[in-house]
Amino acid sequence: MFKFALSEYIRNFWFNLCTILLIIVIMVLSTIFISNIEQDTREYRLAEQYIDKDSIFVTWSFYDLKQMIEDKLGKEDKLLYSQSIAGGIEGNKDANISSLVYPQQVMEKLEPRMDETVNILDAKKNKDIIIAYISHNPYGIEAGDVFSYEILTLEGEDDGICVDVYVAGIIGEGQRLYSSVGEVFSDMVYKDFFNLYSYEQTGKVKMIIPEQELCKIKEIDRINKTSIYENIIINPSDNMSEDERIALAEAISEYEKNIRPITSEMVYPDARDIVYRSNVLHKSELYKYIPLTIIVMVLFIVCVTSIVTIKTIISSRFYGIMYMCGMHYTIAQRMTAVEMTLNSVIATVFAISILTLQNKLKLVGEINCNLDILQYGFMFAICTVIILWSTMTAKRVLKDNPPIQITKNMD
Amino acid sequence: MVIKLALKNIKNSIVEFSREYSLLIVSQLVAVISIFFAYGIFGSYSAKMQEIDIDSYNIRATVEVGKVGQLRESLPEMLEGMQDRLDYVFIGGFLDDMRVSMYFEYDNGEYKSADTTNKNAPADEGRNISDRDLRDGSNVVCISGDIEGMIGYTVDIGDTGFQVIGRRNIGANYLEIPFTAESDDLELFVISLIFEQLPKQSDYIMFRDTMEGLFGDEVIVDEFKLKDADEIISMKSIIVISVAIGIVSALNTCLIYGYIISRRKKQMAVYGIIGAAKGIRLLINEVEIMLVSASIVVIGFIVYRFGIEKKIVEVYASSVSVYGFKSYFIMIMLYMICIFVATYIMLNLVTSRRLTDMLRRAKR
Repeated sequence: MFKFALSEYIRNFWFNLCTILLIIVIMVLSTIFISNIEQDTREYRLAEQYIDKDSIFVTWSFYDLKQMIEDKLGKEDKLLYSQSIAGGIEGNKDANISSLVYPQQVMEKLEPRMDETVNILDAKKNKDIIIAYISHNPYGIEAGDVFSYEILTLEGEDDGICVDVYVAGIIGEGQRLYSSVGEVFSDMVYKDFFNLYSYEQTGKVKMIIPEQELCKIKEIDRINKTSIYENIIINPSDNMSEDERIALAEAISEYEKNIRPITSEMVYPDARDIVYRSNVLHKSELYKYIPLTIIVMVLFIVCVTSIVTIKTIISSRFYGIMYMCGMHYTIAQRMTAVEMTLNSVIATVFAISILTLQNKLKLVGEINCNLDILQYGFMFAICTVIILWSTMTAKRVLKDNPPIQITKNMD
Repeated sequence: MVIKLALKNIKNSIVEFSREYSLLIVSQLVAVISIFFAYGIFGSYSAKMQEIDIDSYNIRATVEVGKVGQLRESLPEMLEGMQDRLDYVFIGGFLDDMRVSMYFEYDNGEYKSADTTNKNAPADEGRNISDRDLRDGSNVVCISGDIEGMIGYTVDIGDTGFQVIGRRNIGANYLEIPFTAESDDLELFVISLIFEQLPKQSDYIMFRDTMEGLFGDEVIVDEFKLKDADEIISMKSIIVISVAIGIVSALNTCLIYGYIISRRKKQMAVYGIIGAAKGIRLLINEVEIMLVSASIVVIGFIVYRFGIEKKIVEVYASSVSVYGFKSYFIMIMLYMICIFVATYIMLNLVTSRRLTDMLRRAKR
């Protein structure tokens, strides 16, 4: 049976080649499409967990306020902040590198785009080394380098904490990071909580340290106590009563008044307005994908229909003759399945290779074409649809029609 | 006769291969609409990317009350630190209802003519403003409009006479003079720094402080915009998707035409046996394909133009209108040429010189 399927496959070489090319382009198109939607919506997907109609916002604070907030919140309440650490290269006072400590959920949902990355497997084994990501910089630090980073505490210049840092990647230019909120203004939306960063334009070198890496440092408590906590977003759960929420907001306000004068530029707009405007903006961004989705879906259906119909027609005569010689229709089904599976596998291998090459070599410039579970899932779904549809159509043609009718239709 | 045969072929094909022909018509219709759509996306997003680029490489201030003369002292100091990244400076002023523009580059204390604007808008008559005009502070002017023969005439800008040295066919009431000419009393409207490399925040701060120092509350300095690379990457991705849509449409159409043409071996062999030359056989089939394709393209155009285009333009609004008679015409012509070339190649491959080979292959 396998030999028959293979000979039939070679006999229809041009059709199969065209089918493979078509499936490759459909897979590449769907991968770029899904990756683009994922990238465009990642800030919203992170923000919607924390920015709610009764959220409380704080521009920045020291450790004591952050600790007070954490003490007042329950397990179901959500808290997000950007821990900012000042530092530089050990022994070089002019080499300033400010660091952002990214909590795990931020690292997962808002993974920074890297211009360069290196393998971190070896570095992970060394528990004394912190793995971090640095921006482009004038100090000659590149991906794969190890350097001694001196964390400045507020206690004094000579009381810095030195740690070895392994640079796992170079942060790309012109992207949104979860750092200080920058400007607070009356028509804020979720995007304004994620500031654009560019070393080229600002001249400031930044480093991102994942939270779990920072925990490797023995003097972590000292670092935490001397860090600045910026862009704090508190999302109380439904368990927190309105009185408790108001009490928390007032405690924060009282604290802020004691450490700095409050100006109108530091007063956040109402959380409900932020949520409303954010939803409107998000919907308008998704709206542009609707026509694209419709066109892509229609094209996909038409293409698969073409592949399946032509496959059935060109194979029906051959199967009809074999059917008359005694072949059961299920064998024809299996042969169709084998042929279309071979096409799908070849197309998938080529599609993944093209996308991997694009990611490494930027053949058409930098575009969103990540290869994650979702994208692989879609490729699998495309293959499954094509294989199943072909097989079911082959079965329908052979089972529902007598062999003579099949061969008559083929003349 | 060829057309009659082609039409007969179409009629017979619709009857004998109704399923395949329906698939062909639907596929081609979807392909045509997809190609128009993909073109719209491509044009719209390319325009948006250019807008972002322009915004990112531009620092601008609008002056409500101020004179060009107020800039003279502070400008060199301001431009000194950023001249490596700067392309040119644009200063826009006005006098009565005349717009007066000044374009120049700054290089180590010297003002020079802006190469970029001279290349993009060369004079249609006479010459552009040169380095020498700027060095000497000459009172010369490049005018706009379509009135020829003004070279050498004198135009009064304020109380000063400016000699006409060149003319451009763009707009009207638009004058370009050297920045170093006698123009201190001109009302200043806008000053724009256009960069070759991305401007730094320090450049913006210097520009803002200089402008606010000179004009106080009478100046509005545009916000400094960092280049949003993520947005540009997203737009590029959508452009690639639109190209992929075009490729999928083309491949699908080729697949179906390839099958239909492969079924014509017997018919073409029979035509050959009864005396039709290879050229005639190709012509009959090509005429049939072009007639069908042309009809589908016209239907696709009508459906898209009057049904879908308005919605697409609303969703993907940009300042550039990508759909016009010329663009539709070019797209349709390109589509028909591609169909012709692809089917011609397929027909040639299928049509063998030996008719017996064709008949034998047709039975498979």
